[in-house]
Amino acid sequence: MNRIHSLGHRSIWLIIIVLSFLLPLALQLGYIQHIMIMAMVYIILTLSLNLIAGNTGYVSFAHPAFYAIGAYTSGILLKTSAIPFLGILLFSGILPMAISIALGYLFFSRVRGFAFAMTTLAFNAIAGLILSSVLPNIVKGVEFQGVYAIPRATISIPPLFTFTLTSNIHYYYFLLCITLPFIGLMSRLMSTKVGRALTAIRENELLAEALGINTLNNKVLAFAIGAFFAGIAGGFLAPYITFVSPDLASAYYWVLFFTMLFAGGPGTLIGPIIGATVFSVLPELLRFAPGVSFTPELRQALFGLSLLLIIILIPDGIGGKIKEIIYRRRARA
Amino acid sequence: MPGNWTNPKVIAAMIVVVLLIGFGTGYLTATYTIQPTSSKQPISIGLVLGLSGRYSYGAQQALSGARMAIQEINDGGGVLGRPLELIAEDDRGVVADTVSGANKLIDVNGVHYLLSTGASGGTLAIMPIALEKKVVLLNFMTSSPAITNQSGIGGNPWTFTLCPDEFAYARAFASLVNTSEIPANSFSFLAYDMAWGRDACAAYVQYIEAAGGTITSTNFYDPASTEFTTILTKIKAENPGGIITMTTTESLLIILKQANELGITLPVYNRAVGLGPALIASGGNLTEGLYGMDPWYAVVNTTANTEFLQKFKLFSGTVPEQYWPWSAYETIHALGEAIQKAGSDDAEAVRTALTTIDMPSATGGSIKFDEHNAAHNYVFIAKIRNQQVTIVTQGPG
Amino acid sequence: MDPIWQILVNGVGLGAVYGLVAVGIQLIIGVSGVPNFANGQFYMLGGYVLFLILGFVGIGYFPSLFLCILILAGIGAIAERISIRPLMERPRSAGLISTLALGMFIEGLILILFTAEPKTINTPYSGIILSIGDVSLSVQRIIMAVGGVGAFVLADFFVRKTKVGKGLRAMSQNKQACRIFGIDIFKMSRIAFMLGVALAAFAAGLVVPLFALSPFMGSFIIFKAFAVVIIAGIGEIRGVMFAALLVGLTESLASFYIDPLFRDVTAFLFMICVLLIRPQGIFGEKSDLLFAK
Repeated sequence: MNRIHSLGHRSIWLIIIVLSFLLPLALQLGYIQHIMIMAMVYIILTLSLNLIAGNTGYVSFAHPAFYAIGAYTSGILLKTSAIPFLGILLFSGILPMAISIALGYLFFSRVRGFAFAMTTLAFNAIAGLILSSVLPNIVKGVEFQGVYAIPRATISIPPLFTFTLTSNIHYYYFLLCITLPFIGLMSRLMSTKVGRALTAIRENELLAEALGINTLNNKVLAFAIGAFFAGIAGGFLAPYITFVSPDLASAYYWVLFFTMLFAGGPGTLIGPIIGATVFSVLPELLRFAPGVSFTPELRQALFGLSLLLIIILIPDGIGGKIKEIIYRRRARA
Repeated sequence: MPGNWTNPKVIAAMIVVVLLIGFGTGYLTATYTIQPTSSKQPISIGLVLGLSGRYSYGAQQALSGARMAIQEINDGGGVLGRPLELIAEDDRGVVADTVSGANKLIDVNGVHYLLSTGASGGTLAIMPIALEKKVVLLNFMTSSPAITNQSGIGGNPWTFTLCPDEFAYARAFASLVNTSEIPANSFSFLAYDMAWGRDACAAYVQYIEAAGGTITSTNFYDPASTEFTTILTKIKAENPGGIITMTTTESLLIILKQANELGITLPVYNRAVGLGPALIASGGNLTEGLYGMDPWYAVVNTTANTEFLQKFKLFSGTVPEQYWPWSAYETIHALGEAIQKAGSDDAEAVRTALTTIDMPSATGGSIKFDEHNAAHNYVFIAKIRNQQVTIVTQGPG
Repeated sequence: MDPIWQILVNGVGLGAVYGLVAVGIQLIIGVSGVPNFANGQFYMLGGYVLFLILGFVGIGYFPSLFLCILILAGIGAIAERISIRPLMERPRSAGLISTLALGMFIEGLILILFTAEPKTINTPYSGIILSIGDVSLSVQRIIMAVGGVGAFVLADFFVRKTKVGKGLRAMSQNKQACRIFGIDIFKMSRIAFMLGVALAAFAAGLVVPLFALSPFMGSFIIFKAFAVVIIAGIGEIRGVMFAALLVGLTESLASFYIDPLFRDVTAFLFMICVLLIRPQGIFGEKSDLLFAK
């Protein structure tokens, strides 16, 4: 049973890891590298959302807010302070995490399910409003509502070396070094006591409580870890795009995250990865589609329809389906 | 867990999936990589715009304006003997897509020049890309002062702005305060809560107060909102001399309707919604007395402008609702002129050439860039009287 | 002098609209357990259907409204079959996501068919403006308030006095018991959904002549409606109108006395306050499924 969240095929993961290191060298175009970087950002976001929404069964609308808070923190600190980037990145994760812990203890103890989802929705809306309307009046560097002209990130471990990330390749490898351990962490997490507790909460919360699991602490933990990594993703985004705007906390993003998570396969490891990759790469691939004009309206309608069909017909998502096929093969073999 | 060498088919499937995603895009895009230029190879110009999605109203017309200019130039033999070609990418009004669209145009299509999108945030996001990849960025539609502040001297030399920024509009408006045309002295703001709404408001506040006027309140609204009676009730109670709006077209129509319902008779000075025939048709009587501020109107009475309108009507079958088609049109012409002057399509050469051009504009002004790479044309203030647009005044842009 | 009466009138108008959409959500969530995130898009769809009827079938405003409601109820029945029924035995989050997806699809469809450009609808009543004291409002707004309260009273009566209505209430109490007693739970779920959608369409039909018709109006109103649902208490129909009016009035007051921009988060702030003090909502009862001890 503790194989659930690791694919079990170490060889496959090894191949994937090696390929991901070689890929940008094969595809020199900055445009492709950008797509791959954004795919990784979304993998981090979706997997971290998966912890609370997929594994624990508590849908959260607050993820874009944590992402945005991380991005703003990183952008503002990079622009106005001399703190080393690694420290800033860490802090971009810690700040949303702290907020999520406060929110978690406040609301997990009072509401569940749909009502909890609504509180996250409220928090997201309020956070978005604060970022777009309150922050410009308080913080220097945010006068024009977004944070622009964010300087590039510089990694320095004095006195060993100082390196400034400028091109897409730099950012790709930097993010890869964060993403791979992160995926490993998520994989290991689900086979620990905490992971099993979360699954128990999802399946039957009352029973879990009756069995002595401290559901409150576990839920807050899942929420906090999710928020931390969402903040890290945002913290990375700031020096990469060099511009951060309040629309990072908007409804567009939680629609995107939910699509990636639930079509990909909530509650699994590979599901969110597939979902994030497909739904960030596909829109870009569609730019090249000859003949049919894939307007965003058509895209939205198709995404909505495909998500609907997947939810109804393949409840475990694309990832879940793949696992099912693999397990069936294994059982037969 | 030992590594099981299981069914090779499964391993192969996983590899294929990863490869498909990675190399598939590589293959597809390789077919679009630029070939080395020969003398008859078209010169590519990129354009990123919100052609669909939420804020696409009028963007399609802007695209037509650009295309019309390209066709004209090509009919006249092209530039340096080569035809121009426009490659447009849709960013649906989302900044992240603006960035990826710009990247795609530069990396995959190999454009040396890029026309920027319709949201200030988008332009700001791709300015660093233009700097890093040495691509000329032509901002023809967005007016955040942050853009011009950071361009040209001491900043990003690759960005050029061909439309007035909010300070220019504010200056022109403020010059009319306390005069016979705008006898009002106090104003309430109603603006869209996004970058340009806020920037524009700040600019207007600054100039109006300098001209001796007062701002009774600044009110921002959520872009998705369709309900303004609460805000308008507040404004009505403040009893200002006029209402200045920075909104989208649809919001303006609702605002006029609801203001009418509340019995508000104050003059509305709208910035950013073009006074075009579709607006007048939808709004009917409600648009009577509405003001607008733009660098171009269809009724600007010069021979060049009349010609432009005729050509545009023939080309696209419509009359421009906003100034964007004209701006796109003149931007392409300015770019063409600069390439011709530079004698080559090299980005740096064209950039330098742009800083030296001095072209007449259809509105009677000229396109000439200052030290912040901003061209100063005119700003017109117009009003709707008897369902017709009439120019009230013009000022330096 | 502050135009307090105008502010209150505005608030009541807002509240009536939120209330209608919220009642629909309450019915659906009470019976099938699914928070219908697509209700906003059905509301929007109602607006577009009315627009089409008014434009192509010249039968006047009220008959068009009635026809519109019927059509939307029909669409609701189909939608329920597709996106709710298959999920009845699954965890609640599935329903949330499926209705969200359904909403996205409807919005995308409307965007393709009608473009993002907003349309205006005018009825003979939206042009007539009354002035009572220093309160100014159009007859359409009065119709909206009256229609809203009227529909609510009807819905309440239906749920409490009719056989079907009582069946719906029984469903929300104990689905398993209903099965045992021979109540067709699938039929109940469908009826609830159709009613919910019809109410939303009715709300749109009343409201659109006052604002404008845009594909995004649905996603804007749905959050307010959900906030009202939480404030009143999930599944509570009677409390919803009261909560909705409360929210509408608070929004109107906050818009005037604090800042118009905060108007839109007022509902959420209100909701959070209620959740902190009394999580089950003003009128709700604690149930282990939704509220912790």
